[in-house]
Amino acid sequence: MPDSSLLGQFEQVVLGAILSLGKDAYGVTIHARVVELSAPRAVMRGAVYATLDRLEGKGLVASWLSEPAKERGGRARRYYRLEKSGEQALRESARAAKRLYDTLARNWKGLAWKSPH
Amino acid sequence: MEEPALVAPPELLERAVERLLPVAARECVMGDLREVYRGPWQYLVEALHTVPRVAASHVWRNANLPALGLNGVLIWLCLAGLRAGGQGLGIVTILLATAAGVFVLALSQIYGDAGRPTGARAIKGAIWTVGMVAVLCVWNFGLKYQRIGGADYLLEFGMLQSLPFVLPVLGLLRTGLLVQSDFQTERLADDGPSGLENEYRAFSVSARRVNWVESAALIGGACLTPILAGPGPWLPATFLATAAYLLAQNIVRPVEDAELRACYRRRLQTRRQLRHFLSWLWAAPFLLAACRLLVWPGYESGRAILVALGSSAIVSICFLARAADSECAGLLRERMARLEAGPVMGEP
Repeated sequence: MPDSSLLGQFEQVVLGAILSLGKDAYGVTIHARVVELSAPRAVMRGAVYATLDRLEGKGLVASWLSEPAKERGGRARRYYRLEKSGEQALRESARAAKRLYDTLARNWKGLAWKSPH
Repeated sequence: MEEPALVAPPELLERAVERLLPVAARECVMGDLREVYRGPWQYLVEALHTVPRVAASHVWRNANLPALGLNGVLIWLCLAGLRAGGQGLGIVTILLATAAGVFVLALSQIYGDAGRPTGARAIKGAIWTVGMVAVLCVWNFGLKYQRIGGADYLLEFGMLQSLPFVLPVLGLLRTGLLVQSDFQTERLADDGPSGLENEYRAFSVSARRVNWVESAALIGGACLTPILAGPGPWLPATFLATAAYLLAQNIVRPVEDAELRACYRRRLQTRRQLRHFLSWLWAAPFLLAACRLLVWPGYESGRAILVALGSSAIVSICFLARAADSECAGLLRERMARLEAGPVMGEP
């Protein structure tokens, strides 16, 4: 079972994007969501593909091809979904982030959550 | 009413990007780039940001480092074998050629076709192999014997004049391999989880059996290679190291269902690179024997017929090794392409 230490920060963002997109998670939408989640940092499309490829290699996500679409020049979309091990790894990462946040909140008394948006 | 024309990138640009992308990523990445297309410059910039990362990721994901390392050792041994007696190719040249060879092998894993070679492609591949081998033979042997003062251009010509006689025979053999491969009915499982699991189990059992048999054959081969390839510890050592690696491959951890597809794909990729290496490893002693028993004595005694026979043997062995590798790799690639596509057209 993969633990959170196997997940890099960018991998967590990509997994989070796939989770939030549900059944509509494919290259274009995942990149758009990752850009949104990583703002103000710019994210190249290639970095997203490389990470998806790595996550699939680790068995954390699964992918499949759709029917060809006319607006894509007759090309298929590759859709992604989290595998159980991917969900578990993401959950572990979220717990670790929560523990860190709680620690910071206890030590920096006035820590208030400010959204960048 | 006529449908409006869809906005599309320039055909030439799109085709260039497609050629640069790894085969497994072409369908989805090309489609994504088309979907976000806003103009030729934007397309070019997106492609420049995308293609190198995707290619590097696929090379890394598909690279089986032990198999690539063994391939590197084999290329080194063959080139160093041609450098007998301290003559011929220099050490630095051999080192660079080996590094280039390993790099090309790693790239060929991601840019190769998704299935078995078609007739036309097989013939092109065969002509390319024969041409490369002939050029390498003439260059290396010619260089060697010019240095020791025994250059005879008729002997070098003897290497080339054998090719017209050898090529039709090799063409027939290649056709036979293609036909035999077409007759092989590949049992493909259905796309359900149990189908995939059964197929993976069958593959694992067959791979383990082949590994046992081939590692035993390699150990036997290590004892016999000095007869063909001459004295020297390196080739038998490579045979033994490969046998040990094959036996280590048989120790496989159990796979969880969720990882099955990824794991199966990884093992097919490993198998493909291993088969590639093994095709050439089995050919290596025969190549060295052709050099040792025919080409070099031919040069030294000035007998063109020996040089012609030896070079024909070298060309034929390389041709057959490549043909066998290409057919076997094609079968494995077909399975991998099916796994890349995922379950049939829809969410699993």
